[in-house]
Amino acid sequence: MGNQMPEIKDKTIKVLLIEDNPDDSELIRRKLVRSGNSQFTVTPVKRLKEGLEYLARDGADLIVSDLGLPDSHGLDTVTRLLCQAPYTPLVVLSGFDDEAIAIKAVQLGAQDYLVKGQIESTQMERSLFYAIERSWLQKEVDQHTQELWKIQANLYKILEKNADAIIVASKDRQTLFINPASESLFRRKKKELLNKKFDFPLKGGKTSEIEITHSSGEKTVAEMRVVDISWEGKPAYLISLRDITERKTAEKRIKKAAEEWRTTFDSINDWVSIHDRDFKFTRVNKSLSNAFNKTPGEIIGKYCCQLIHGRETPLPDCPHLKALKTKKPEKGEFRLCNPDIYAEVSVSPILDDEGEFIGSVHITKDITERRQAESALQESEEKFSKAFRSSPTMIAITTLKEGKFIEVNDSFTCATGYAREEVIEHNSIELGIWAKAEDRARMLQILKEHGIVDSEEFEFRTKSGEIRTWLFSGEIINIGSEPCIISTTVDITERKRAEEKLRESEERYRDLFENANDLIQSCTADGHFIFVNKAWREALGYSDEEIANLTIRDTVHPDLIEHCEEIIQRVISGETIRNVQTVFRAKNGRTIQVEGNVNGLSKEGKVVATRAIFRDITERKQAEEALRESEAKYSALVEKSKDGIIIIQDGVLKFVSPISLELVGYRPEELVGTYFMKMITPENQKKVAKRYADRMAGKKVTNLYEISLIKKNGTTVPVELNATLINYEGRPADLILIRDITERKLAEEKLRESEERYRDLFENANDLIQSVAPDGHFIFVNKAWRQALGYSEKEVANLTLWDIIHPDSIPHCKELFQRVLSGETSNIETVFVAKDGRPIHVEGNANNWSKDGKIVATRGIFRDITERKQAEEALRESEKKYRAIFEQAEDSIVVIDQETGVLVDFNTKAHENLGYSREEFAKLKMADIDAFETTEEFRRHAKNIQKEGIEWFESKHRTKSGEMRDVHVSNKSLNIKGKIFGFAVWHDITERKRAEEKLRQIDQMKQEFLSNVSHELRTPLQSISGFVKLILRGEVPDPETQQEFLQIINRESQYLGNLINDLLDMSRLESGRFEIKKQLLPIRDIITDVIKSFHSLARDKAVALSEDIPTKLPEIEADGDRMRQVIMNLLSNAVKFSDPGGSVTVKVESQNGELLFQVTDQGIGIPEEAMPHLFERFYQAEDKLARGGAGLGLYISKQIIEAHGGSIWAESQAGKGSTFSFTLPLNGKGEDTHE
Amino acid sequence: MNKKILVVEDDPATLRLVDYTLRHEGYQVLTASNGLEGIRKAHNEAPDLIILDVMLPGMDGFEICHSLRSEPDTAQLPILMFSAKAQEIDKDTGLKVGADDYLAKPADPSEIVSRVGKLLAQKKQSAPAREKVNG
Repeated sequence: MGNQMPEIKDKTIKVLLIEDNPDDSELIRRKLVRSGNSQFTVTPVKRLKEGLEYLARDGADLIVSDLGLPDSHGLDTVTRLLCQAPYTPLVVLSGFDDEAIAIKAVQLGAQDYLVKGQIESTQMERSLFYAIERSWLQKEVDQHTQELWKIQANLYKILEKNADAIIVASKDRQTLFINPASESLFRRKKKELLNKKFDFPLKGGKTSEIEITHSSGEKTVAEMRVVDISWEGKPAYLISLRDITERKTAEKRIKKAAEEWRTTFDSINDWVSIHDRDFKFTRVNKSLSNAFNKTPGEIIGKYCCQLIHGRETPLPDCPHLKALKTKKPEKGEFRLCNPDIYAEVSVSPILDDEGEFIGSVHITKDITERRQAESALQESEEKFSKAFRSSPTMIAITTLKEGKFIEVNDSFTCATGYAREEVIEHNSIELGIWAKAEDRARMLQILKEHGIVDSEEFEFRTKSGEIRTWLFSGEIINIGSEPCIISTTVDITERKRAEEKLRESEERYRDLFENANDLIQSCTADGHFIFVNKAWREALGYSDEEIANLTIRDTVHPDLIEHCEEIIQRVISGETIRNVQTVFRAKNGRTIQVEGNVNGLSKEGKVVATRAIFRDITERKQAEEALRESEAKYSALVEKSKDGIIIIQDGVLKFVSPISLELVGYRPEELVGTYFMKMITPENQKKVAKRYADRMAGKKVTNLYEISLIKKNGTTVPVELNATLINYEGRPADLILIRDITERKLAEEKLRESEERYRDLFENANDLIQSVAPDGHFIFVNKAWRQALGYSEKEVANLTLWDIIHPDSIPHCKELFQRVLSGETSNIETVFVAKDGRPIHVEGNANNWSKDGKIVATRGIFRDITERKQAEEALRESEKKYRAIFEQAEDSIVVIDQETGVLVDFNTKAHENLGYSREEFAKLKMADIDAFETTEEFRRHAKNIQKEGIEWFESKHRTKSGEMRDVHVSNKSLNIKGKIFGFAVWHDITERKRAEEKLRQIDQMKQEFLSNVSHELRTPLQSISGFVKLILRGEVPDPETQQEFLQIINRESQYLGNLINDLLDMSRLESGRFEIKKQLLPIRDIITDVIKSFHSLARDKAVALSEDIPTKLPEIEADGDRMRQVIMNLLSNAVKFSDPGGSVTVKVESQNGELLFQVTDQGIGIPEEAMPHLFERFYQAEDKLARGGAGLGLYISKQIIEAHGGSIWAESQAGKGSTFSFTLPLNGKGEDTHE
Repeated sequence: MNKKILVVEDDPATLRLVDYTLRHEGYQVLTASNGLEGIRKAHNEAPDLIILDVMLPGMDGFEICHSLRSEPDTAQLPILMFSAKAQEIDKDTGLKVGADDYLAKPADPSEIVSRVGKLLAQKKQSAPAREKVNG
């Protein structure tokens, strides 16, 4: 502030003088203008109003105002001025008497007061300057306060927006502040959380985990960090909590899976290892690490061939190499040097999605035993071979002449990298085993001279091209007739190399030492320098000569000499001290802050010197200091927050919280001022830019989103951004909380993989799988589902469950759906409709899927049973068809249990025909119906059918009313599911039987008739032919007798003729050619004529023939011959059936327009049972009475009478006689004649 | 001594023929026009032979024959059935019920005579034999 005073003095100060008294005003103005040190320009006004207007228009550096003004008075004046220009210093003028008010004015905000009449120039000037100064100080304080408020507001926003739950609790654990995230974490309202006791143990500074049990019983795991802060002036706890339930669950699951996998992995006795593409171990199991006496950590990262074969390069037949090429599993067998075993390695390649080789799984089996067994077998045969092969020194037999390999041992192949078959029969020069071809000649020369080569050093080349130094010994042996060299060699390359390395290392060290940037020094115990390096000399500014005379005391900061001496003593006593921090003093007095390690250099077991390597950390220290300072201005909240906090304005990072170092590897100061976009991975840039622009433009955009940031080391880190628009330094800026979500992403990734696996499973399942949201929309369906219904994935997205359920099934399915949503697991059989309208019958079950206690979907797994359904339907159709045939058959059909005779099934005809209801019939057995069968018989019968297959027979069935019906039965037995059923089909043949019976009777009648006719014809023929023969032979000499006989012949001939006529009439009747020729007849004459013709016969038979005929009868219209025939027939019958002495009476009368004719006899009468048949043809009442009647007379008579419109009948009383009557209609004419 | 023959016949013309023919041959002829009369005369008049018509009013010839055979005094009486029922079955029935011969109408009067003669001759021969059997 002090340096502002001159500025005031240099500048013209605008003073607004408000004074209504012109004298006072002038006085003050003059005093000010006259003031020597400063130039005051005074603007005098008289009223407050004018003053306020001036302030608003022009402003002033200082206001001097009287308290009593025409338009304002006392403290009001002060208040109004302060309101108009709060930052303009105000000095009030007061009189003697109102100094108390002036003091009040100062309390209100005026800077000072002057008492009128006591004003001295210098005093006033000082007063005014102080007023200005005070006012500026006040303004600055206000600005700082405002700044503080702004920061506090931002911090408050950070707290409020923080995705973590943040709680501030007082030292007595009373919660003072709760941010919204806390509400969701605890699932409670702010009200419920505020001013409550915070129950969880508070471990300051450390991250701990707590478990929150919700009212629903669910648990949330949270990561808690507690920091001590000052809250509203009091010490308090800042508790930040992060929901890590998901992470924990995922971790637990992954850990468990990993544990299982690891256990499996480790419990395999074979060596199992996983390698990357470059053969490096990425994973090994216990068996493997144990075999090499190493921890897995020591093995991982090493090359396979290094560990297993002790080689830098893979073996030529390395299966991993092969698998790399073939991308198929490969195998190989090896002898290992350490441990000394035989191993069989199988390598399975691990391919990525593109089929690229990204690594392999090696399973190595110790097959030493197997190998040993093999070699034991060989041992007995080839002891030499064993010694040869198992020799740890390389042994090779080569031909002397060409150097062709005849045999080599395993040590040889092991060392050279050649497989045995690669060298055998090959020339060593050609193979290039000799590093220098001329060496072989040298060796042969030695051999020639000394007969033996003893430990000569040669260089050899392994298959991989490596040059190794071997000590070669050899002598000549004869194999067969071929002179050969047997050589033993020892590899001394490593020894050689070690020597070489030692030498090189010394050189390197010296170089390193000299050129190191670190300050390196070595001192004796008493602090004299033994050596220092270049960097040291440069840093401290001493020359080599100067150093020789220095001790440590000269180079260390005086304050730290004691500390240094202590360190030296400790080092001398054998300790190595790391991270020693001290301060050097350079030759020019500059201090150099260093940090490094100090150790002892010992000689013969005794520490004789110290050696220290220091790093100049002056700059770092300064930077740290600066950092500390800069950090100091942020509250503990920001510092301790696990989220990175940045503020971006115009795309430039304005503020970066320290956590960013952890997040992206940059220090905040490295980032401030850079473009945020540079940190964003290219693929996210567009998204972020758009969101940023939108947010800046005031549009509503999502606050929370995920992107990846580029770390300093070039890798990326997934983060979650939570952006808020804030006002920063008076302009809009983006406040972004950045959270590292790597772990979450990893967990998500794991989850996704696991989900993918299930998805794969689910996609490829044959069953139709679907998940449906409660609103009926499909959440997902699998491939089988889509294929079955013919919808594409896109189409499915727009479908609801009700689109694919058959309309008929919807009501039922809706109910089921609700039940599943309410928690039931339901078995479902329903019909889906494919896109093409094809119904798909499915069967399956559904359950629901809830999340956070809320049902979010149903899941259903169905099997397509359409074919089964169709088969069922076809079966049902077929059954229906057969059932219809069965039911509608005219025949009765029953299915009978052949064992019990029970009627298992039957059609309507079956029970109706027998008069039973369906229910009654179902209770019956076959034996109840069949008149002939008992159950026992039925069984026997059934067995027979079983043998024969089918049987036809006739039987009688009893109806319910007991009536017997004739039936024709066909019975077939069928085996249905191991049970024998009889299929009986019968039809009622009662009517046919009756018809047949009638036919048979008619047949019999015909037979009898023919017999009768024959008899009737023969009888007259007998007498005719007999008499004729007698006469012809002259055996009747007597003329009178002859005459009698001829008359008999005549009569019999006539009878015969009549008989034949009757037969013809009948024949005509039968064929419908019977004719009636009607004409008016004197009926009386006809009747009497016929009666006359019977007189002689009646006399012969001693039958009295009487007549009772009116003297006058009308003529009737009739066929005369036919009428005569009828009357003769009746009379003839009457006479014929009359016993001698009986009488026959003919009675005729005319009544009711009819002519009634009656013939009554007193004969034997007609039996009652014969009465209905009298007028039937062929019928003869009784054979005994048949006298010349062929049973046709009455039949013919009936036909004739009926043809005339009359009727004929008979009445009889057995033993008393009969009366035959007929009527004929009388016509008008006839009646006339009656008159 | 003239053999006595009973003719049971309801047809007057046939009766007259048989009566005349047999008398012409010297047989004594008895006639009956129905079964009852015939049976009565067969028992009472002890004819040597009966000519029996089948189709008679009341009892028919088969019944008469059966009846005669079941009476001891007529059991052996030669019976010639003489009927217009000319079928084999009728002849079989006749012989079954006990007739000795069966002659279908119409037949030559000489045939009647011949059959009667034969039956009478058979009777002479078979009678002692039957006695033997009885004895």
